[in-house]
Parts: sequence; structure tokens; C-alpha cells
Amino acid sequence: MSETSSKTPPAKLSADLADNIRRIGDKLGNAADLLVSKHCSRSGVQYAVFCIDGLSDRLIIQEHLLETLIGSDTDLAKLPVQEMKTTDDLDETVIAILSGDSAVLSEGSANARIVGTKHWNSRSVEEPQTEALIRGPRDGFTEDFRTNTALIRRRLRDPNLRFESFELGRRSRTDVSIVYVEGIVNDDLLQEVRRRIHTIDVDDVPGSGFIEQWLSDHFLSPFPQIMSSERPDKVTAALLQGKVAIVVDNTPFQLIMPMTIFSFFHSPEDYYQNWIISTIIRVMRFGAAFLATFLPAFYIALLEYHHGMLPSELAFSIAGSREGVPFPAVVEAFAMEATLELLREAGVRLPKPIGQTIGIVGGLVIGEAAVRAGIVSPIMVIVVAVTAISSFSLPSYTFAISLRMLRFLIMMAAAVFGLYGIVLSYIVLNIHIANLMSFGIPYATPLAPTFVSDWKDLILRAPFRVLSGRPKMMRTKDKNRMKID
Amino acid sequence: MKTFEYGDNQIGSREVSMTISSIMIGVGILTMPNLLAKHVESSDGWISILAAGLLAAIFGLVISRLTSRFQGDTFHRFTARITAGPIAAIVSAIYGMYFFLYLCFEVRALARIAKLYLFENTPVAVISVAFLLVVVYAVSGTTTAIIRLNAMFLPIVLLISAFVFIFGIQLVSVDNLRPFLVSAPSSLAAGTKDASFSLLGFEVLLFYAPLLRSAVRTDKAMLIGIAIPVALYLLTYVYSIAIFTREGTAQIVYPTVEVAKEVRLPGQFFERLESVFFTVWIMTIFNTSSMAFEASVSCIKALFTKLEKRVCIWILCPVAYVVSMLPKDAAQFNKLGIFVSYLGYATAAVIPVALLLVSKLRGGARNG
Repeated sequence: MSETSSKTPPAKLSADLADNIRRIGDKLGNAADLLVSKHCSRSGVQYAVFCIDGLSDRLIIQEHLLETLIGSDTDLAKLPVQEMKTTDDLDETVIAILSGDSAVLSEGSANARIVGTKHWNSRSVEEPQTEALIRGPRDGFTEDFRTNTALIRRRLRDPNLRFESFELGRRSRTDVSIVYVEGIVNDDLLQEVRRRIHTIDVDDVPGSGFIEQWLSDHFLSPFPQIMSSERPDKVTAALLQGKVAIVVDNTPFQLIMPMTIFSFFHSPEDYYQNWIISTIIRVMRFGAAFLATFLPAFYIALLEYHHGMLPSELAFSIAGSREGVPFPAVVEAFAMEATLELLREAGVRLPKPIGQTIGIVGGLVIGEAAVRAGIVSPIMVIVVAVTAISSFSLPSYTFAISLRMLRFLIMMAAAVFGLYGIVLSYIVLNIHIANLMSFGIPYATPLAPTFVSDWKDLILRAPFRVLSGRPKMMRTKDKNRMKID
Repeated sequence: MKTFEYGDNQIGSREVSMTISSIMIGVGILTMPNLLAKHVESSDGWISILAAGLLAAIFGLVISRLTSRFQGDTFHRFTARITAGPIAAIVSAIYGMYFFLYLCFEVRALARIAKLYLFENTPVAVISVAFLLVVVYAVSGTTTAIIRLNAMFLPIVLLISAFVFIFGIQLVSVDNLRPFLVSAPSSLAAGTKDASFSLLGFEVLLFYAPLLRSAVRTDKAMLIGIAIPVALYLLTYVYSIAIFTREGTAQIVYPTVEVAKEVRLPGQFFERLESVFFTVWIMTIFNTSSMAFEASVSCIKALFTKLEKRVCIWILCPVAYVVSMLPKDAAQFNKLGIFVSYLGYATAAVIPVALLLVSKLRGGARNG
């Protein structure tokens, strides 16, 4: 909006109603979904009400606007509606109409009354698809901006919860809001988020993934530096840790930043369950991530280079099972892993009922048939299956996807150098992580740099009595989150 | 896009300790029990290790004093302040060369051992190149990242050592350690020299002075950093003597790896633990090498101020490769090792002591 005003003086509404109707109609190219209803009140004043069909609540317009306007001599300022503002700016009026509000113009006045009538068909609050939990709230974000902010607000009735809303995208004018808790969040972090998000100047903001990539410190990295989540409880918990969230219209995935690598192993469920169980599950997740990334590489390394490392019986049985398999372990592993990725991709694309069938057909039939046909060994099928299960057990989809990709690189390294290749790629991975930052916070915090007090909620999920402080690494203003006597 | 900083590019006491430990633990420990067993009777090598550790602690304290005296300043600048420009240039050149040769030695040693324990057929050259490229990638990043990598790898390295020690207890026979205290002082002194080779490297702290957080208590951090490898070396030495006897250890080139080879893990999943052990050890060798390379690059950059870091790395990398490939056989390789160690005495002890003395005499300290 500021862009247009800097070039040409803002177009003002005129006092002539017919002229206004014509100009608004011209602006919108006389769109078919623009509803203009002209009325005359009892005292003879001409009114016109503008709204977009499908974006506005017709009931409100009918009952509260039109009936009041026609039936009485009520002053426009006294319309019985909740949300109303006045403007004399043509562009602002048009934008308001386009976002679902109604504009009421009257003959002889150069002011438009914008009445909040936004209402459209949107998905109701449902269980999050990608982050389902056993124990925990089942409401997830929807595509509706207001619903999403409300979901957060409902969990935090803190007056210090802030939504800094603005529009992004020159043409799409997507609602975006920076969410944080004043008094907890670190000001430098907040400033940086603001600064980065205001560098975005594009036509269209297609969902939060776009903002995520735009805001990331290192766009060449395979690792997500910002977390996207469908869960309001996850976002709320992050806000209370001093993180910043960004809520974007038209997507159920909202962003949380900054992120460190360990937060991708944490799930809200960890806090809903007994700490012992949560700790064990977390340890399992770390193991799963390791397996998902390195297991096929280990298979290749052991079979191609280091037969001697396996116990002899196992080595014999593997060799026996590989009898008749014409390919080296590398080819076998790459073929099977690639098939697995294909199956997974196909399962996502297909309609739900078929998707599951494909999973079973692919997993069982192809695996079994491949073994029978002597293309792969049964051990390889086990390796592939364990890898797949491990990568599914990670709570963050985006993180799991990065590991999936890295797995192939590490397999290549193992194919060339065996164990040596695996350890070198592990080192390279760590070098990358050590250099990675998310909004200025090193990605490997709190391990390196070390914040020992934050280790209570890292792999261990200590009992709540011990978790009295907010994470030190976030440098929050308010350090404590509970009082322990 | 301007990235903002929390001031998190600084390092604290824990990182300092881990850095010191990481650079000291390298390839030296793998062969040290063998050297000791050659010179010291029975199991008396522990005295040598302790003595070497004590010496390291003393000179470590000198270095930490020097560092905290000039905290926030680069090594080259504070040597220039203490002495004079040309002398500082010579000192930087010595350190640059020392760390560079240190890197070459580590690379070659790694390649030799990897060939011995991981694969027979792959040529040493290929192993070295792959490793060097990884080191180059590390050095291309920030110095802070290199230091943080220590915190990522050192726990794993200590963990696998603990594994070996715990499951190796059943192999230990205390009889092999007897008799105690039978070595002559001269042989103990020779042993101390052997042990001290593996305890060099702590002088790298001199190069991290600009990164230290102001609250860092360098003395304590330095002592902890030295204590960890000394404890590790003591255990390793005692284990190798107790498992292989002194005569046996004197015959085995890499007794530390062989200890891991003897250890049987319960569950029998890995038949040969030594491959895993050495694979993990590569991480600490990497830490040592990357810090040495980084220090060497920073010395050379101090001499040629116009040289860009990236250019410098890519010039040094092939040179490092060539130098590490120069030794034709084990004898020449050992000569390289001894030469590096003698240079190490100069850089870890002689020069820092001289610098500290001169700066005390001149009283030219900023934070002193």
C-alpha cells in the first residue's frame, strides 16, 4: 500500500455515489462475484453495499446492514455491527472488499464504512495429519488465519502474547503475523525476525514454506532451520521457551524459530507423559535417526569391506543368503532404498484407501518377490524395512526428509571407503552442523556451544520439578517458568 | 543477508578444556605404550606419563597465563607487542610450520593405520586425500565451529575408550604389571620424553585468545584439558602392559588399537572391535588435524595479511598432501614424527616461556 502512495497520490472516494460505484466496479473489472446492492433509506438517502460473494457472511449483511439501513434512519456510524471502520481511500476500500469485508457508501459522503463480514467456507479444526499423537490435544491448525491465531490465544491467555500482523505479498496480500510473548522473548531475536520478514517483497506468499526458505540463514543446507508445525500446543510451548512463531494465512503449517537440531527430536508428547517414558522414547528417537541415516551405509561397508567385523556365524548366514544375488551389496542397497522412496512417494500421492494398499503391496510383495527372484538378499529387505520404520518414527517430517536425502550420500561414501567413508561423512555432517546457525543460534546448541543446564531437556526429559528454568540458550528475559518451594 | 550474532562465536571454559584434550589426543596415544615399553622396565611407564603430564601442566599454565594476559588479541599481534615486528614474524613462521608439519604427520599416520586396520587394498594416497579434503572443509568454516566440533566428538571418543576399558577388565592380568618401581631414573627420563610426544598440542590455545569469553578461567580449563588425556594415557598404558606384558607391548606397533582388538563385547555383535575403535578414533585425529591446520593458516595469514583465508587453505592443502606423502617408509615417517615433536618442544615450552618472561619484564600487559 505504501508503494502505491509513494508514486501517485492515493485515490480518494468522492461524494458522488454513482461515481464511487463506477470506480470500484472499474477497479475490480466489474467482477462477477462483486455484489453491489443499492438501497434507499426511509429518509431518502441512497446507499450502496459492496461485498464479494462467497467471502462475506450474507446473513450479517442482510440482517444487520440492509435491514437496519432500509428500515430506519439510523446514522451510518450507529450500525449494529461489531467491527467497523471508516476510510476515504479508494484502494483501501477495494482491498477491504477483497478480503471479505463489506463497504457501505452513501450519497453525499466521501467516506466508506468498512464492516467486518469476513466469512467463508473453511476446513474445521481437525486432528493434525503429520503430527498425530497418542496423548495430547487433537486440534490442529487450519487454513484460516483467524482460527489459527485463536487456537494459540486460547492456550495462552497471557496479555503479553503479541500478534504483530501485516500483509505480505504485493498481489496476494497474505495475512502474516509474528507471534511472541512480550517479556520472555529476546529482543535481538525478535528484531532479527522482523528485519528478515520485511525483506520479503514478492507477488505471492504461497504458504509458510516460502517464508521458511526466505528466512533461513543457510539456504544451501539440507537441514530445516525453522520448524513448521500443525500443532498449536507445540507453537505455544515454543513461545513460552522464548521462541518466535509466524502464523501465515492459507496454510495449516505455522513456523517456529529459531530451531536447533535437537528440537527436531522432541515431541509435545514428551511433556504429556511420565518423564521416564519420555526419556526412553527420546533415546529411541536418536537411535532411530542414526539408523535411518546410517544403517544401509553400514550394510554396504560391512559387506563390501569389513566382512571380518561380523561374528563368523552371522557372516556365513549373510553370505549364504546372498548366494545367487548377482549384484554387489552397493547396487542391491541403492536399488532397494530407491524403491522404498518411490513407494513412499506413491503412497502419499494416492488417495488414502489405495495409499495403504500400495504400502502393503509394495512392502510385502515387492520385497518377497525380489528375494525370490534372487535380486536382493533377505537381509537387505530387513535393512530397508528397519531404515524406513526408523525414519517414520521421527516427529518432524521435514527433518526426516533431510536425513532420507543424506542417507544416499552416506551410502555412496560407504560404497567408496567403507567404514572410513561413513566416519568421514559423519564428520562432514558435523562440520556442517557446527557452522549452521538458525537466527544466530548455533544449530548444535546446547551441545556445542555447551549449555549444560539445558541438557535436562535434551535427550533426558527431566521431571518437571527440575525443569524450572527456560532454556538458557534462548537468552530469555524471564528466566523462570515455575516456582518451586 | 546480514546474519546477526548473539555473541555466540565466543568460547567458554568447557570448550577450552575440550579443545586442549582433543588436540592432545591424536595418533600419538595409539603407539605411545609401545615406545614406553621399549624404554621403561615393567609397568613403570606410568611414572613417565605422570611426569610428562606434570611438565605439560606447567607449560600449559605458562600458555594460559600468556593467553589471559593478552585476551582478545591475536597471537601474532601480542608477540609483536611483547617483542618486535620481525621477531614476531619469525615466531609466527615457526608456529605456522610446526602446525603444518603436525597436520602432515597426523594425515600420514592416519592413512597408515587406516590401511592396517580398515582396508588393505586402498592406497594410502587416496585415504589421505579424502581425509585432507574433510579437514579443508572444516577449516573453511569458522574457527568457532572447529572448536565446537571438539565438543561433538570428544565425548564419543571418551565413550568408546571407556567401553574398551570396561570390557577389557577381564583380560587384564595384574601379574604382568609386576614388579613395580624397578626402572632406572635415566630410562624413566627417556620414557618421559616418549610420553611427552603425545602430550603436545596444547599450545594451540594461543591462537584462540581472541575468541575466549572474558569470564573464562583459562588456568583451570587448561589443567582439566591436560588431565583428561593424561588419565586416558595412563589407563591405556596400564592396560596394554597388563594384557600384552611389557615384552609384548614393545613388539606391537599400535598397542592401543590392539587392546581394542582383544576386547570382546558382550552380545558378540562386532567380532573385531578395533575397526570400530579406530573408526571412532578418526574423529579425534580429525579434530587434531583441523585445529593444527587452522592454527597454521592463521599464522600464515598473519605473515601475509593480504592473503585470503580460502586461498591460503587451497594453497596449503596440496602442499600438505605432498609433504605427508614424502616419507617413503616407516623409518622416515618416524623421523618426521620426531622432528615435529622437537619443534613442538620449542612451540609448547621454549617460546611461550620466553614470551611470558619478556612480557613480565616489560610489563606490557593489557589485562595483566
